[in-house]
Amino acid sequence: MVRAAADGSEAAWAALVDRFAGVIWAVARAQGLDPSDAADVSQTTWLRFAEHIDQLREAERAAGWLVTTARREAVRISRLGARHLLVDPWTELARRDEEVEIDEALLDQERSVVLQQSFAALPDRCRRLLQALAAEDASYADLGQRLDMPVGSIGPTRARCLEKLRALMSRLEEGQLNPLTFGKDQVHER
Amino acid sequence: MRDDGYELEALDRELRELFARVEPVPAHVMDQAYSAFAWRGVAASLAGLEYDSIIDDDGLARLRTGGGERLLRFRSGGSMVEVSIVDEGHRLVGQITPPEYGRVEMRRPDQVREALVDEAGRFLVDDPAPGAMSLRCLPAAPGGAVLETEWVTI
Repeated sequence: MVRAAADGSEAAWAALVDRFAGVIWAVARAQGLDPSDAADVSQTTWLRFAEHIDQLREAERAAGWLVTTARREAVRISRLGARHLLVDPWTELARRDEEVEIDEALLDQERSVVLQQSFAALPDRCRRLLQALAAEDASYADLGQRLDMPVGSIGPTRARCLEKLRALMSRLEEGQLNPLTFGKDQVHER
Repeated sequence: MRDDGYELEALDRELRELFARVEPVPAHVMDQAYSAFAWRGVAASLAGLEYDSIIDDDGLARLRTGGGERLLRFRSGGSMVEVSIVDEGHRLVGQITPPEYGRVEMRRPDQVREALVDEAGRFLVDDPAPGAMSLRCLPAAPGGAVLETEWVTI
């Protein structure tokens, strides 16, 4: 997909955006940015990606690169915001009261980013299935028809996909994964 | 085996919750992401962001700009572009090294503004809007090397 986009396929680019835009957005919001700042993170990240796409021909690196770039840009912009505020003592006191709540919310959001990033790195087949299963309580027969899968394979495939997701998440959370190669085995898979 | 099953079901619930409450990416943000394709370029001519006072604050920015302003430095081989954003964001002052006459294009995702570069390699842009920015430095002399800076949010 990345290779095709680098070679000029706009459809391949759009597919990359569809797959990863949500994670980038989540990363920016997890940093505490409001929607307009998060929009700037997203825009700069995709522009940089377009700039560097030639160097990122290895599709496997794209996922980690996008998240790392978005995170850096989000930190950058969050500091920009702070520099414009006049910090006075009353604001500082109020902020400390909010900190406990914010910490819990941030933990939640971090977990959410890990989940989204891992989900984005799953093979297409898994993403389609898990999304379809979560979206509605359709019968396996209906889903089998819609996704062009034998009904008997849905249960086992679902379990395998969830297992893949679990494995990706725990590797990410344990920090054992080099963010640049994250998703190496997954994104490439049919 | 049994534990594994419970763990996967818990993950499945978490995933469903995520789908239910995950904030959708606004449509205009998606559009901008699709449009970024048009800026596909060749990274070989890129001047990378080497220093950003917002991140790498070591007092240099305060020294150079008098405090409260932002300093960015881009480098490509022996060439360098330094950008100071001063006057509370109302003015962008640039310095290209090695210096030479020419012009600079300040590229934004949806527009391009031009400024002249003097013989000392200096240029000025008033009221740069916040958002993603990349500079393209075009020397007047024929055959001069074109410098493009990495996209950054100002």
